[in-house]
Order: sequence, then C-alpha cells, then structure tokens
Amino acid sequence: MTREVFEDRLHSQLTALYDELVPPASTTEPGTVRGRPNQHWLRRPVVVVSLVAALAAAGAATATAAGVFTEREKLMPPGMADTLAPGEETRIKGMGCEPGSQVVVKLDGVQIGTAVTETQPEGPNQLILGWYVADVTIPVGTTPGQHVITITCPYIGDGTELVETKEITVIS
Amino acid sequence: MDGLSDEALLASLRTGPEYLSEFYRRHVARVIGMGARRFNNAEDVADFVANVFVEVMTSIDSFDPARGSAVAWLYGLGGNVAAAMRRRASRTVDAERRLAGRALLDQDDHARVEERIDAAAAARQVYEAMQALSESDRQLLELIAVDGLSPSAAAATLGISGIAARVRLVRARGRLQATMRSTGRPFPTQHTVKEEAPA
Repeated sequence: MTREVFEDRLHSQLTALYDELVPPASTTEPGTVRGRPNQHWLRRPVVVVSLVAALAAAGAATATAAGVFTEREKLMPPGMADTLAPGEETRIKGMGCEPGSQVVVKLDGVQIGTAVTETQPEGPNQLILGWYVADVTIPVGTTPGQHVITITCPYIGDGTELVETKEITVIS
Repeated sequence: MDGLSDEALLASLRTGPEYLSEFYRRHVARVIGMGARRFNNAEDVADFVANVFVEVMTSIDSFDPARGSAVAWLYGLGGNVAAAMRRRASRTVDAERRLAGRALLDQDDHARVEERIDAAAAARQVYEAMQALSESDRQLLELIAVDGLSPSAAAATLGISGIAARVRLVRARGRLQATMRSTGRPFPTQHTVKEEAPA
C-alpha cells in the first residue's frame, strides 16, 4: 500500500473545497455583464465625493435636492481607480441605492465583493443619498488587460435593479 | 481523461472535480518546483502550492486558451500568488486560513521539500534579487529566469507583445545585473532553471 504524502493530503483538501470555490458552470459568463456602459466616469473618485460634499456643505442640498441627486439618470457614477494590479485592494464609492440594501460588485461577471448601503442621513442637510463603500480585491489570477466592474443594488427611487459598469485596466 | 489536453481540463474544470484532480496530478510537482524557487522553507512552499491550486479553482474564469497555454497561465498565476504572499495581500491570507498547506506536511514531506529547496538555491537567489525591480520587470524576468519560460511564452502569459517583452527584458536584465553586482552575487548567464520546461 502506497504511503500518503503531502500531495495526496492536499488533493483531498482541494477536492473537499471544490464546491465552495469553483464558480458553478451556470453562472454568468465573463464579458456578458448587463447594464448600460457609462461614458461619464470621473477619473478620481475623490472628485465625485468632494463635489457632492461641497454642494451639501454650501447648503445647496435640500430635501428636494436629495431627489435631484438620486434621479436615476443624474446619479454620480461610482468612483474607483482606473488601473489596478492583481491582488490589489481598492475602494469603490457610489450612491443611489436603497438604504440598508446590499450592493454586489462583480469583475467580469464574477462576484468579488459586497457592501451595505448607509442608513443614516449625512451632511448638514441630513440627506440620505444611498451611499455605499465597497472594499474589494482584484483576484490574484486576473489577467492583464481590460476588464469590466459591475455594481448592482436596488435603486433608491423605486427598488428596481440599478446597474453601473466601469471598465478598468489590470496591469501586470 | 488521459487523452485530454491541459487546456481542455481547465475548460471543463467547472463541470466536475475530476478535471481538477487530473490537472492537479499532472502539475503539482511543477508547482512545488515553482515554490522551491521562491521560498526558502518547506512551510511556505506548502502554503504556496495550496494557494496556487486554490487560485486555479477561484480564478478559472480568467483562463483564456487564446492567450496562451494552460501551463503558461499556471506560471502566471504562481507568480502572482508568490508576489501576493510576499505582500500578504488579504485575499491570499484568506486562502491560507481556508487551506494552510503547511498543516499537511509530515516529517518525510518536510525533508523531501527541503531537498528541492536546496536544489533551487541559485534560482531563489535570483528571485530574491528581482524583488528590487519594478512589478512589471520582475514578473517578466521571473517567468524567464526563474521558471524557464521562453520570452514569447512569458509575453503571452503577461498579455504583452513579443516586442514589448524583449524591450522590457533587456531593461530588466540590466537592472538585475546591476543589483546583483552591487551585492557581490554572480549574475546568471543562462536560465537558472534546470527543471522541467513548460509546454
């Protein structure tokens, strides 16, 4: 009888983890992410955050303004870095989701993280804009090149699915 | 199963664990060799091997046969895993918590892996010196000088053109040479790797 070695024990462990770790064959294929392409991404997420914060601080944001900020077609796109490396952590900030709802972040259709939308009003005018902050890691195995980040959540206006997409460049 | 190519195994991996088993059986020795060229103790090599195959499972969607062979993809994955282990990127730490390869080593395994580590001392010295290079230069040189890939296979693994790879390679070798000379270490004139060449 052959003695069991490290390779055998690791094989058993990997096989036991198969169902947990391998994406099922029925999930969305890479590159088939739904949602409209967003051509208006700002280069720096801080610009997005600062713009809304500045407006709110200046008193321009009222209860009515909350509606303006969260109108579906006028939503600020989520902010995140444009260029990332495999294994790198990055932060995505966005708005327009139902308070307390789950935000799902996918890379090429494969989930890489989630976040929960704020439930407390913010700023001097105590607006609820459906902000979220998602910290995600670009998977180590991601190949260099163009990839699509998709963020989905229930829209703050009517609870229907809100889908935002962003193209990123993964560098080697 | 024996008749299937490595690429076919990866393409089928999501349909059943038997394809993972066959891919693992074919390549686990190669991955242990990759680990021995990057880490100087059996525990880290064992963790590396476990992490690489965890990544094979979780990153299977990133394999595109049009961009290169399964083995080239595996080498690219291994390079990223090693770099992440060095940086202690959170995802790899998660993988280690989920599956710590070192916990699976017994005394005999330990001695066996140490032998491979000793045999790969020269490659590991080069790998260590490469850590001073930029990420892009290091990745390319690592695949060629440490793992023995051809420049064209390394270029395909990294998703860059052959011309870009050659330019980057000249630059990287120059910088590595300067680094190794400054530390009094000999610069390898040929591939350091004597082990199996990737397909």
